[in-house]
Amino acid sequence: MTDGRTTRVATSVTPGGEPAGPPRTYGSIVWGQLKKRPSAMVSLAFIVLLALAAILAPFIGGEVPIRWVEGGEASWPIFRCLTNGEYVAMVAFLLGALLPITIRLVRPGAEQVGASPMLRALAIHAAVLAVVAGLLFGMREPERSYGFYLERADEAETAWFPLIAYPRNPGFSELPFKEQPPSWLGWLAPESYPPGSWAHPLGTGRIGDDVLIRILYGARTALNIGFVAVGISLAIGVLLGAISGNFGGWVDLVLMRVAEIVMSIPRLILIIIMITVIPERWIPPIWTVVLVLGVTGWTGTYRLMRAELFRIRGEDYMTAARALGVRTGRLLIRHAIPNGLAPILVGATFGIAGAVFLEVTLAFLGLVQTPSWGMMLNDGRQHLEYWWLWVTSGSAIFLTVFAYNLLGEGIRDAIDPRLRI
Amino acid sequence: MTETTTDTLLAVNGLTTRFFTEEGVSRAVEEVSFQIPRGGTVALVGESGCGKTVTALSILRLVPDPPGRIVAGAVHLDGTDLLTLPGDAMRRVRGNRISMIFQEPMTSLNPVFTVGDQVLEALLLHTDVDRAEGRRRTVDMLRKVGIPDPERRLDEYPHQMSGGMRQRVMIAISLVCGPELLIADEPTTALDVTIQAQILDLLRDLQADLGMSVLLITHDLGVVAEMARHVAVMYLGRIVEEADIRDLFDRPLHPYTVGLFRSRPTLQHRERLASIPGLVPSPMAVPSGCSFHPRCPLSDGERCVRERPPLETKHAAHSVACWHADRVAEVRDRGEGLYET
Amino acid sequence: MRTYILKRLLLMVPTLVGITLLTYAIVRLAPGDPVGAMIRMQAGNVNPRVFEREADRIRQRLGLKDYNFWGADPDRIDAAEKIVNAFYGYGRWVWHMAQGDFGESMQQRTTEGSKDPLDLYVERAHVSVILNLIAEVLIFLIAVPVGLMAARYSGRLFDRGSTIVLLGLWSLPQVLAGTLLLSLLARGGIGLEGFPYAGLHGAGAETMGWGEWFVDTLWHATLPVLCLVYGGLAYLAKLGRASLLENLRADYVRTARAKGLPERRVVYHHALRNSLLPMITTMVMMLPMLLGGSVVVERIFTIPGMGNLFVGAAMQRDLAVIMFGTLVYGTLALLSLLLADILYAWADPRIRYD
Repeated sequence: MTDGRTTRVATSVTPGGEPAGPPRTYGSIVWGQLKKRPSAMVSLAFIVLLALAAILAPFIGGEVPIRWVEGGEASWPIFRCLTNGEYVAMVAFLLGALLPITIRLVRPGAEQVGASPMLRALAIHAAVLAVVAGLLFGMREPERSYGFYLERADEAETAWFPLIAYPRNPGFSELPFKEQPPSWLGWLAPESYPPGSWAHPLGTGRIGDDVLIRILYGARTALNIGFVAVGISLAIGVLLGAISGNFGGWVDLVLMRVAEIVMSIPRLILIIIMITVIPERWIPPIWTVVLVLGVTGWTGTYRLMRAELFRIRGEDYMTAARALGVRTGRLLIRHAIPNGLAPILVGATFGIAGAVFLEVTLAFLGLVQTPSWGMMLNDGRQHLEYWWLWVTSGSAIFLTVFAYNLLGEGIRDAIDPRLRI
Repeated sequence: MTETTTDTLLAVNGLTTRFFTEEGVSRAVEEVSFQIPRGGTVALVGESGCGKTVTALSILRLVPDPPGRIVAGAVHLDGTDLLTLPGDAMRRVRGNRISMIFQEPMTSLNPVFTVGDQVLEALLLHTDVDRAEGRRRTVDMLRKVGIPDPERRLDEYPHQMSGGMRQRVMIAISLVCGPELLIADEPTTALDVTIQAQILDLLRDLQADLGMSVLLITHDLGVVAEMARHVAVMYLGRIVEEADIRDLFDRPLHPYTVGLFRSRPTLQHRERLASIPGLVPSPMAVPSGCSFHPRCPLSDGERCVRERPPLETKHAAHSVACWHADRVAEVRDRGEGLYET
Repeated sequence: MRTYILKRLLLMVPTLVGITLLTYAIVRLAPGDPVGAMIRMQAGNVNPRVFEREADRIRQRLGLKDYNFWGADPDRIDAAEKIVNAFYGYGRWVWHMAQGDFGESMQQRTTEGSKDPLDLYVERAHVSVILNLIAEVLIFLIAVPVGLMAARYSGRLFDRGSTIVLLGLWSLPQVLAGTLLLSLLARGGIGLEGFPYAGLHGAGAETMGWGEWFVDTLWHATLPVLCLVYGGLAYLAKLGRASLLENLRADYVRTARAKGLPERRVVYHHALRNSLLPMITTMVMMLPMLLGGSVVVERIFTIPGMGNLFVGAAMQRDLAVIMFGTLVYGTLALLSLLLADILYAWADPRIRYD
């Protein structure tokens, strides 16, 4: 006579006692916990959407039409004008979306999704990406179009332009729309702001550049810096941490001192020195920034990986594996990395946020040439009356960093066994 | 149900504690009732997760309030219902009239304060002594629980002591104010076997010395045999059988109790270790009717699934909650086993 | 304990050598000509021969001249020789530094004569130190109560609200925060227009009396300090909350409650002691970060501080100033690490370095 409303009446309890199902791996438990946390999922969605918008930027705002029909001939000009890098990015995003499928293909028929099939799937994707990149870079040159299509728009029978048909870099030409506030403001406060054009929903800057387009392309820089820099840090940190933890002894002593040195030099100063030191013709400054960020940011991951390796070295299953003659490298991949992965992921998300911050500071100091949110912020800051410049870029930075921080916290909570939902 | 007499120190009546989480309601303790006589020892026995610790925490109202809540029942200490006491009155009971010691001595003491400070704190809180007198009594108590060289140990930190010593300190803290009831939640589970024996001896001596009652919570039947007079067996939050110890060991009447006893290794028989088939269901998905029916060899598939058996007294001080308790007795008298391996 | 401190201090030396050597090598070995760039920037186009002579003389004085150690050609210096020169130069720097000579700053040369990096840093030190000390204290005073309250009433409105606010603060870049503060609160912007927008002292500061000067300085320092404080505040408050929550779940807290202690004592006496430990060490380690990372605040609010000096020198490859800054910063970072460890050992009786 238990009331079946508040208890799940388990009349179908099997002789085993628990409902049957595959044993869950650590990774699937963490992922399951993450899915139950709305804030983490929202921030993840935001980041994915941001990446998508950044990759599809030429389709949202630009001067090259997506489809062009002239004189009976149809063409898709935009695809000729995309750079190789953009193609690689699109393929990478697509592969990322297909990852669950690849994982299922890779699994040797087993029930659970552990880290090993995931790593294998990632390796396959990386190989595919490398092949695509190789093919493209060898054999393709993107076309350039400076206003060619915009000027001749009337001569075409059909022209599908991006949402904001406007040159990305207006150049020196005198454009009719300069320094315009966001269009919707004009309708809200016509005394202070004459109605802007809806062609520029977020307004324009001082040389007539559309703000929304700048934000989209700025997203590329931000994400680039974040992912690549942190990717480099992760790679170095995991590798060195594994070496340190595995060999111990004086190898560990030396590596720890190296880490101390890297930690004790102020990161900003090092980046500045490197930027001013490495000439542009060797490495474009943006990659210098990314490289130095990567090379100076590994110490946290290193310590985590090292601690994890020290911990599992003592565990019995490692001794058993060694006794069975399993090689060190395999041990690392199958055991050390998957276990240490979660806290490292947390550090990685916070590292991405930190990298974006550093870029903002560098732009503030005037050391960045690549268009980015930091540059917009700095530009707008110096002319406070054009507030839409720095408010938009500032908000973009804030939201992105907020999303990364939220995600990092979500992962950290998902790992904690005491916070199981 | 046994009656309440003036000899009863603590009477628990229909205690029900539940945990309300996002995944559902966990019925940790359901309608639990038992008595603890003055100076006597009662044991609560069962597997992990059966609700014995939560019962103890409920008596002291230490259940973490979200997500847990005592939803029904009464706990009478010498006539006063603890569950309705205001906050400060309850705090005067804790550590003073009812004390509790826990399972993990390694982490139950604050690492940044000295051992002496932590014992003294309890004393200063509940009695009127001044610091000097408090120190003297602390030293006495430490000596009583068997800590050598107590004057020096007073100023030591917990991490400087072994597990057994820390448990003695815990006992000292809980007894220094002379409580009427000591609740011991798995006091020896985390300790070595030799230390276990020492701690149990200590508890028995102190109990005799101070004339206090003990509520012993354990899953170790050996410990029960040494310490307790009256035993209550819990399963999935309910008491399924209750008896004096001799009676329970000789004539268990509930299939679960029989199963528990069978799973102990003995030196007499050399068969495979028997175990009760199946696993304990989660307190969030309690089976209907008799909650043991999915694993019970005597389940009739009808009444056992539909109706929950109430706790009935079969004979002197022996109650059981089973529709087929008589069959259990029968099978035993015939010399057969209930669970065929 | 004393031997431990000594050992750590000794170990600091090779690390410091590593830091300074690395910095020196990077700046020295880099392609490009900082001296030439500076001359061109300050004097415009000069007769090439005069230029060479001047540049050479300056390089000689600053210890930046490359010497030809071997090789047939006395004028060409190949890569290997450059590296040797770097080491040699580093050695000379150490030697001079041991005697108290920190070299000369490259920047101030043609205007007022050369300046000792030591002087340059010292005259800005009091500004940076004051600002950052105030910031540290404020961070502690605000973060601890906020974190504690959030943990104590975890899950309720204050906790949820403060978590979001703190995360938001943590996600705000300093450039944006400073700009917002300026535009909303300072004179010349929109909004309140109450606070000054530049500098640490108002006009006529020299003629003010002590009290007035004090108030004036505080008034000017408000916005910059706010800018310095909010980030560290968010971090420390979240740390405090996490730390206290973890301790409130600990077994010894259960024992304390079972003793019948009032909840106030359980939280503020038992749990707090344990939760403060990681907070204290974090605070100590935040100090050098504040000093090094305040360049943004200094530039936005036009405050002559050490961060600005350091960054400016880095951008111009002013070797002497960079080296001094690296030395100071590195020493501070390592010392604060040591201090943090010592404090932890003092506070937690379980930690003993023997």
